Amino acid sequence: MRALICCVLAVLASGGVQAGPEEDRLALRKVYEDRFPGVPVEAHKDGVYAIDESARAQWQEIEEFPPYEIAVDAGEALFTEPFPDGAGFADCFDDGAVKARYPLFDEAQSTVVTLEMAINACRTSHGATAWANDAPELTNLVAYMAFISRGQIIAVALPASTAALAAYEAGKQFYMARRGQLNFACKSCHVQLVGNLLRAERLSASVGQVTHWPVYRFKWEEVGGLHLRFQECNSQVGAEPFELQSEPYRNLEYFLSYIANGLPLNGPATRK
Amino acid sequence: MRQCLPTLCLASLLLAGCAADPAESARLAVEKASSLHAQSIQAGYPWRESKRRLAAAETALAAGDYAAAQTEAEVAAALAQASLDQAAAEANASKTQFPFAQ
Repeated sequence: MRALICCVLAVLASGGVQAGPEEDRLALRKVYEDRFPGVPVEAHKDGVYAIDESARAQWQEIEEFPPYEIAVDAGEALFTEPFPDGAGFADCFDDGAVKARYPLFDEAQSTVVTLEMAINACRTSHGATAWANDAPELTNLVAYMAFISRGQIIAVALPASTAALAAYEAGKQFYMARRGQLNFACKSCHVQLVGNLLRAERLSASVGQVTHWPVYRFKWEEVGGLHLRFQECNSQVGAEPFELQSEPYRNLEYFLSYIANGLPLNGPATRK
Repeated sequence: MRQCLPTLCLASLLLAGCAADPAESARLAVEKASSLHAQSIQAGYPWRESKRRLAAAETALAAGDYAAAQTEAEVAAALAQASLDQAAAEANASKTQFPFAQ
């Protein structure tokens, strides 16, 4: 009896059993299944348009003549442009339909590698200079690669090493931690208050938040990447945002991509 | 002791004079705010308003507006300290079960 009490106390003292990535993913799917009965989890690839009928109708009208098409065309031209050594992006990415492979944890570099990083690594390995992380060329090329990757299912590998798991946990920690003067965490809006209105905007589910990037946002009047949205979210709660492609954002992307496993890619997209 | 008294009086007067120097006081306040803000960056929890107030304090100090520099620096320091408190409170957030932790 005494041993049993000791065990219970030990578990309580340790703060409970820490969930692994797959437990996290399943737990989060259940949250959305319970919160939005009748809406398949995969439907959250469309973000808020999965749960807001009137906004969905407007969005579908916009998608008939999508404003991101120009970025896709520009990206296609960039994809076929040769590097100084005569090679091209096809030498690194085959036909370019590789969006579902990223982000990945690179064991050699011991860091999360995003598609943007891989594109710049490809450029520098062939004698070209790396694009700035906010360069339109980089966003346009990702838009093209996202476009031809549409329909691919996100399948981020289970973090296999201690370092990969640490990166996942860092992303999860970022997602769960309250920050900024408003003291909001990502999960405050996208898990606990999901589906509610924040002023006139309905809050989307986090499970589909990585499927459709880059995005043409009317607010931005241009196509921008996922990390730009992270920066915007951080700013909105009064936190000083991190740099595009910084380690905290890459870890966050890794975490969000893992929990989106099983959802199809449908980028680029249009958002308000 | 009686012999030391004039020296001690002079020293305390000098110290009081230094502490009352608005330029030095503002510089110290900006330095403190800058240090706290740097710590909040290192902790990964910097706040925008803290950065903005610190920049305003530095600008005011450079312009010789010591009163404004002092005020802005004190606000910046308070905000930076609040962000550090937030960082400390959130340090163990992921140790609780996802996604229900508060």
